[in-house]
Amino acid sequence: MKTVPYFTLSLMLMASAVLAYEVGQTCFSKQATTPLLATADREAAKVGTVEWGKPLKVLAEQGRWLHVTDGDTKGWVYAGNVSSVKPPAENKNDFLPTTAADTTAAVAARPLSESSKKYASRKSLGEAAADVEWAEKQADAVTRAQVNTYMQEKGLGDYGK
Amino acid sequence: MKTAVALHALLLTLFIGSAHAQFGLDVDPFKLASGATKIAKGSSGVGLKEEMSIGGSVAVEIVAMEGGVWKDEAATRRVNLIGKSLARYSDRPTLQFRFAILNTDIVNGFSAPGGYVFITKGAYLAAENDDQLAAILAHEICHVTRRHALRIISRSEFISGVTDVAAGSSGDFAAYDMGVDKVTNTMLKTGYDSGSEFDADRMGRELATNTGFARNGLVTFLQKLQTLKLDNKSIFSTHPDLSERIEKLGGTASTTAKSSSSNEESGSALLKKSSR
Repeated sequence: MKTVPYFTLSLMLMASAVLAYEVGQTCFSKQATTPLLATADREAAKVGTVEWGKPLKVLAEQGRWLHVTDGDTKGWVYAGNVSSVKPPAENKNDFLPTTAADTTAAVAARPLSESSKKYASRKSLGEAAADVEWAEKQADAVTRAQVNTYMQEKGLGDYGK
Repeated sequence: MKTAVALHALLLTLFIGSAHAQFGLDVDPFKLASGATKIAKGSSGVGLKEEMSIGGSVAVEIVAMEGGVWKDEAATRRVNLIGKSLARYSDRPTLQFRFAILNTDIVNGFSAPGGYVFITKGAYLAAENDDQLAAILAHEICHVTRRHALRIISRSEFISGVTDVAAGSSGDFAAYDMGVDKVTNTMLKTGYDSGSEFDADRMGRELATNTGFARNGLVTFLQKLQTLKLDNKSIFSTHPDLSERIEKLGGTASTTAKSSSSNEESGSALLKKSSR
């Protein structure tokens, strides 16, 4: 019987050693929208969403998950989706389209910009520019779905506990 | 309160516009609007489009000066899987990060604005597992998300020239080129200030941990490098001393400091390993 509280205590200590959030501490959403979930599980029902930069009060920790409240709704967020410090306002620009053709900053695969290509040309760095473009193609070939599969296999991100 | 501020701003704009038109005052309301845009760009004064242009040019310089890109598709895919997992939980989760390996035996990592992250072949082969690779990549991701390179440009006299060319609104390439040179020189020769490096170490560790990688990945990697006894130019030459980094992360540094190039046996073992 006596081992239960010690076990619970050591789990809590381990969790706090990993994430270093304290109950009552404020954290901030760093995704465009962060889901608040009913339980600490990525498949759990969504009970709400919070926008980028929204302050959230930490109520409890469980592994890499945080139980939080935005003042109105309580729910679980994955710790990687929040920051212990308020994100700078300029980060919000990443969610905005940079050209009329883009829907968001991240959607389109962006090749080396014209100004960078001209820079490479002025500096006679055509070979290096070609290498960068090769690297860009290799990187862009790794899709979000493939990253999801990798993370699932390794128990990373919100696929883990 | 917000309504009152907006009303004041509207009245000010109307007044200035009117004054400009009626009295020929040397105040251009469109320049003021441009100034407001600059504020919206944030403290670095560089918008996303400009950041990506600058980053692309810096990436070209890094690749040119560090032996080109190592065109090993499997290894490149591995660093992108690890890197993109980390980037998802970075402070700039929608930035399109790209990860590549530089074809050099030295052990180092570099990053450029806009999301270009490079690890050297020497570092890739020295890392014993995904946790250590993640630690190196997370450190570099944090240089990007914390805008350490952009702040070098934003503090320089080249800022307006660089951003104007990057935005396509100017042909003053000299200023742009000097701005890119300034960043590249810092990255490849002098290195960031130690405060930025320790910041990237600390934030990188948080990022790796939050993503699910081992918390001690960077410490164990740095400790391993201490045992390799490569010369100073071959191990994170643009970063602070290994022992200091380990200690700041709460690890135990080896009592043997980084040696000079006299110990060629261990160094050549790594070089041999990395020449596959």
